[in-house]
Amino acid sequence: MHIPASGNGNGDVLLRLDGVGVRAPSGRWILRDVSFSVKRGEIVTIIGPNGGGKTTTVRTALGIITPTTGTVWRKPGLRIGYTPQKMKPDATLPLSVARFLALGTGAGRADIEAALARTGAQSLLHEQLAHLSGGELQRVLIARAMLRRPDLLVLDEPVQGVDFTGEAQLYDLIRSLREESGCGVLMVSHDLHFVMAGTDHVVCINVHVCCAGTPQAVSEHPEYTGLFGPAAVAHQAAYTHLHDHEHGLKHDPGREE
Amino acid sequence: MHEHLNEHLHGAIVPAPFWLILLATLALMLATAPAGSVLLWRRFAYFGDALGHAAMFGVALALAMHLPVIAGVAVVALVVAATVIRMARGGQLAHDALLGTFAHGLLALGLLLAFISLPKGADLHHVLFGDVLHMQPVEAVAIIIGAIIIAVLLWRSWNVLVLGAVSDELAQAEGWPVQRAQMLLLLSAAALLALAAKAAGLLLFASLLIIPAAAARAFARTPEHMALGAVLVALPAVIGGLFIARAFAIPSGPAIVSIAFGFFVLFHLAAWLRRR
Repeated sequence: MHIPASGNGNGDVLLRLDGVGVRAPSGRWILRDVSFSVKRGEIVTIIGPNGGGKTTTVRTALGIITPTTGTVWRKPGLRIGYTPQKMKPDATLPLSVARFLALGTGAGRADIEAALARTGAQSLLHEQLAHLSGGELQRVLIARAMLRRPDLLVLDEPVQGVDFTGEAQLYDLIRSLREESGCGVLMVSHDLHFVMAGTDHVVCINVHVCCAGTPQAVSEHPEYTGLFGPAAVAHQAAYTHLHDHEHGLKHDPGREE
Repeated sequence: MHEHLNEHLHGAIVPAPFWLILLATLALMLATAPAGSVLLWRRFAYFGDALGHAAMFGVALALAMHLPVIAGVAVVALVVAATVIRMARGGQLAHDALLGTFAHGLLALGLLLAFISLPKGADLHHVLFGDVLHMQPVEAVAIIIGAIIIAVLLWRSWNVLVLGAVSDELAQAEGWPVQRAQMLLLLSAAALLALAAKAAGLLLFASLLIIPAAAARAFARTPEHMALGAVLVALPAVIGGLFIARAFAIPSGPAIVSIAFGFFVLFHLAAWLRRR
């Protein structure tokens, strides 16, 4: 399967999934035959219905899950910055934001303060990690991912819990990080507006890859319209409430706005 | 037979000098404090307790086979720790379910074995609650060396242990050796149990892991504060406990743990009052 060289992509592949399948212990396939790659300077976004395997794809790409079939290739020595989708630091562990950001990143105080300022979280420096709200934690996690000076940023719904204006700022930040460092970005996003405007390559996953390509190509694909409805094509519909959508459905009257 | 048994249970007729016993017990705390802190962060507080119960089987086995008690405890604790890690990865049962099952299953087997192989009326009290003042010199030296090795290994993996406690997934994605660090932690706890069996006994071992760390949490602002704070709580508990035990001829294990528990109550009460 191929990926059009778009955006700032210069052909330098950082991560490649080839025919990846993941089977649950129950025997059910969570992912089947998923292939795509992420290049230096490229923003690849994974979209798809809830329960469709987006997070499983990311975790397999990172080596947290071992695929049942297929292969995952990561460029040797690849530095990864990651923001997991679900993280709940335990209050038993006394850990400030400052210490968390220094832990294993080798970042000095000035770098840490600068990174927090860029994610709009400068006031959280001395807070305890366990006391942060969901949105605050996301900002701190993005700051940590930045401080790792990654070759590849992997962001699993990075703006969840962040308010509306904050969302736009964080998406701008992700784009400018790509510009500055030339890192690749693999992201799961529910924000179709960002996906369409800020992404080089879109992979729509519902157990298998329904469709993939440039945002333009994907938005015109019948499987995409089938999954997200015509409303999503017209403008960025909120489709987060969609569950277990049936394949091949061209139109879902229940989901019009 | 009886004589042999007593030798096993009480150690040599000539115990180590008091200062050496003190030193060995303090060295033990250098390793139990950081190990206990990480276990608390990972919600593994019952790990030590479960190992202690399971190790009863090791004690009975060693006594029946005329082997040193420490060897039986070490083998059983390490095997249980490694088995629990492997089985939990399979995902059918979580750590707590596995630990609870192994703890009570092996405790029952140990008690049966002891009932069958030991003479009637054999006293297993010191196996359960410790008999630190009858420690042999060679045991004291083994404890000091073993505890220092474990403490150094834990400190060397410290950043990974802390990051893993925040999120294993994050640490793993960033490329840290998370599984190795977790294996090190659990096997260290098993090895510490074998070393501490004489000092604290199987049932009080877990309290050495968790009570000083839990007490230190009251004022800790960083992970290092908590681990070092746990050492600082354990220090007076050990020194005070041993002196009191010797002076008043009372059991040393419970004396040490009681003082540590006193610190826990005091610190958390003070922290609570300060917050009000």
